[in-house]
Amino acid sequence: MRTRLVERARDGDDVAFAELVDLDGDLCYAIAYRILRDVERAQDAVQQAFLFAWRELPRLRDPERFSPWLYRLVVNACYEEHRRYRRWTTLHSVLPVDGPSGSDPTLSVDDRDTLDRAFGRLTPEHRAVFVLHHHVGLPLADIADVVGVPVGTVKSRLHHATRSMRAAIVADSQVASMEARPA
Amino acid sequence: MTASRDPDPILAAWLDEGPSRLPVDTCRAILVATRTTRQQRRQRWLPWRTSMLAFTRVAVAAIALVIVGRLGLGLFDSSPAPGDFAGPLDTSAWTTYISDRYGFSIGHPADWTERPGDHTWSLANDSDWLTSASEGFQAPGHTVLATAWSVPVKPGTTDAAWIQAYCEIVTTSCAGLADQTVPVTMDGHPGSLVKFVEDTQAFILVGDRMYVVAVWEPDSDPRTASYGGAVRLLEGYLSTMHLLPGSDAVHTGLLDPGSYTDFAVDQDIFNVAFTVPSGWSWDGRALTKSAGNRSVAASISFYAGPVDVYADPCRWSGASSATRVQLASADALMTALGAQLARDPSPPVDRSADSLTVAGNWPGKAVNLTVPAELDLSSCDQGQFRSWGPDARLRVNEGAGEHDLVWAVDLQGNGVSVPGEMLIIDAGTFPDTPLDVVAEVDRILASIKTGHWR
Repeated sequence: MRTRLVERARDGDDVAFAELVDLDGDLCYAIAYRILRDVERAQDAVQQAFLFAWRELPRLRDPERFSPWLYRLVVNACYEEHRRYRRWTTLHSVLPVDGPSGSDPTLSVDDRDTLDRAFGRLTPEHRAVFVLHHHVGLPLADIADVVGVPVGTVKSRLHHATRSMRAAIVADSQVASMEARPA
Repeated sequence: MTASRDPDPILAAWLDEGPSRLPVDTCRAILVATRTTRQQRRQRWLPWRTSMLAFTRVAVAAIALVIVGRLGLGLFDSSPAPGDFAGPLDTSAWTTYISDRYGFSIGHPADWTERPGDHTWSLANDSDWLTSASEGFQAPGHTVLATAWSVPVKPGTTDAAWIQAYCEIVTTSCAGLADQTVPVTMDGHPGSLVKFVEDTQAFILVGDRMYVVAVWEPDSDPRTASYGGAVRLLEGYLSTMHLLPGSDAVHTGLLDPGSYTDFAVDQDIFNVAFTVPSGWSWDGRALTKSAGNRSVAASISFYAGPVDVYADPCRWSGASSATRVQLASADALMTALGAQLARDPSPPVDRSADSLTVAGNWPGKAVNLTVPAELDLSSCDQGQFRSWGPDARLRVNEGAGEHDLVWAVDLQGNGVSVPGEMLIIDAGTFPDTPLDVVAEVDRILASIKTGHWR
């Protein structure tokens, strides 16, 4: 069904494209938000990605490859958003408007703050790989396809990003543990 | 938090937080934009692959659509066709864009949007129009995309061979390229403009570097009609293009002796200028010189902080072995390096750096470190002795006994940099590096100026 929609959209059917937006928009937005950690910039990135997808869709030779192609557009749009704002902004910790809003008991306010700061220190390239693997669950080869780098580079980025995020939690835990220790 | 908690569930929970539904307003904006944006059409339906009856139906329908469309606009469209224009495109009101990354300046229509490249283009990874490696220029409404970049080629490679190899990666129809090629010039250098089926691109080989400018439309595409077609538009771009003297792109490889002022460090965060004597090469990260049996007898590398300083440069792969020197001063970097295992650090000393106009403008610190002379580097993790990372900004020492002068310069303020960003310079030599080369290292270091002058 999706392939047929892509073929119709490729031929200029904007109704079919609207259905694709309906099908893929949520995941694209989830990816963009998690890379950028900012609601408005994520919306801008998704909008740019879909507009570019519509315009360039006739060049997509294989409709089966629509999803990785679209994810690539989203990731590239996120890079552009990040580049545009990186010199003037610090990490935004905008709370989600329709998500669990931090109700997960696994997470404390300190956890969020620690992870937000650690994530903010990653490059957008590392963030993209981290999100596509840990949140979307894509295999490494698929991530390489999406971000346009060799699998070895994906492995390296994923290793670095995951290690940095884990290290932030561990370091924070050790500090908290020492502070809690009686004198 | 307690020390006993497993980080992975915390990470998963943190990632799961956040919005999961595309807002209705954004969805609506996409759909409105879709209806007002024309698609980039390509020639996918070849008539000889279609039955005559079907082809006739398609042709009749197409003609009817054209007539209806033009009647819908009121009268027959008066938009210009490529042949309606005489002479070159007027570029006098164009805006100039400077690409330090690729070593050229280029103009673009003033109402087009710049989309600077965010990494260095490579044939293996970036051979498609979607790549964000190239410098991009988008017409209003994203109707036309032009991009430009450059890439080093193997010495001896001809432009025709490179274009053929490139074509076979980016498109499906590469037969008879010569018939689709017309000569062009860029900044006095001869090149080739190729009219591909789907787009229009120009290739200019200067020394061992290929410069490429692309308009991602075929010449006949109506979106470029107001410029006289894609070829005329591309020729307009080429007429505004100039190579930058002294840029890293132009001078990757062996450098001529002299002064260079346009080297950008790590995606243009800082610029550095220096003067080199003969025999020094630039690889985009480091100046190097060979001597004796060593391919790298001396090196001067440039990095933009922040970096991960490894507590043990030989055993660096453990998850907790790196200290992130993030948004901190040069002092913090000196402290972290001084605490590395087996580096025999000197006490850090103040060492300021010059800007282009002011001596000692930037405060800084320097420290001397060594790699243990008896160390077998193959015994280190992955055979590497790492002063710092991450992978994108990796300092791997070349061998046992190497002596490093690490000089960290704080470039803060001025509205461009993020406070606390650092330029890190690492000058590496060996006990057997000839004294005259060591002296050259000192002279290059003394000539360095830095800042943000792009």
